[in-house]
Amino acid sequence: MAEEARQEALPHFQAIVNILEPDRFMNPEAFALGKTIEQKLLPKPQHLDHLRFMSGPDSTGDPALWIWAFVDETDEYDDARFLERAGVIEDVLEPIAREVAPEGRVYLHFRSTSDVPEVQGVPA
Amino acid sequence: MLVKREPKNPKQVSLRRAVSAAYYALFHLLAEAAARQFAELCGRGDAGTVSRLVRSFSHIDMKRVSEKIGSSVLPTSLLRPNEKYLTPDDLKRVATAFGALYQARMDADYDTGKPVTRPEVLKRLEEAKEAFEAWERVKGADDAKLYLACFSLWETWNKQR
Repeated sequence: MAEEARQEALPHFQAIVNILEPDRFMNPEAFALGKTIEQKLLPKPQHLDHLRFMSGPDSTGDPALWIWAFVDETDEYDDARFLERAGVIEDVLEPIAREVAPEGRVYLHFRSTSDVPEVQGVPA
Repeated sequence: MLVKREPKNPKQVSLRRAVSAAYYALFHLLAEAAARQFAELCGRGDAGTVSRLVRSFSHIDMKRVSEKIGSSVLPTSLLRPNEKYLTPDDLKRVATAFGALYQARMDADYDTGKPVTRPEVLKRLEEAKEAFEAWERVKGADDAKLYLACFSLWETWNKQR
């Protein structure tokens, strides 16, 4: 591909990546479910930094949706504060996720933004 | 203990073992309660019989039953006409925690491509602790006895006739 054509295509490709956010939505079904959940979750709960979604069969073959909720930790990480903030987010997020994905099992995971998953190789 | 063993830079193996231990603690609590319930019904509540019956429970069946009960779903044969069953909150907490811990344990033990983090494990352990506390409160209720019986009888009771 000529350099000129590549440069012309690049902004369009970046726009697609920005829309699909493959670092947060790991497959098309996760994108559809995740976007719906995020819409229903507005206004975003306090201390929720961002969500990541993956769908597929779980270990028993049942349909499932995994959600990673990243809890905002701007200060130095603290166990008790993390658990409190995660609990508040869970109370709002879990019923919405179950409503949006009633056919599947919803697995919620809570992580701190002080954990940098990309560095550790955690699935984005 | 495992999750706090290396507070600054926890090893994956410690975190994974902590998740696995939390799952098995809840599994044994519920499987033993179910085994004791059946054994005592048959007039054989001795420790040996209970111990042997514990081994008859399937993890997958318990996980699936827990998901149903956690979602306020009963086997069809137990539903009265026009009944809308609602699982009590404490039992829902136990059942939901069991399903979540089952999958977390499978991920922790077998999916090494999914690293786990310390805060994530702490949250999971808190969920297990709350499930134990909820079980203490609800274990004498009829709903709880029904939940335990479903571990073995869900399929039979859920057949359409």
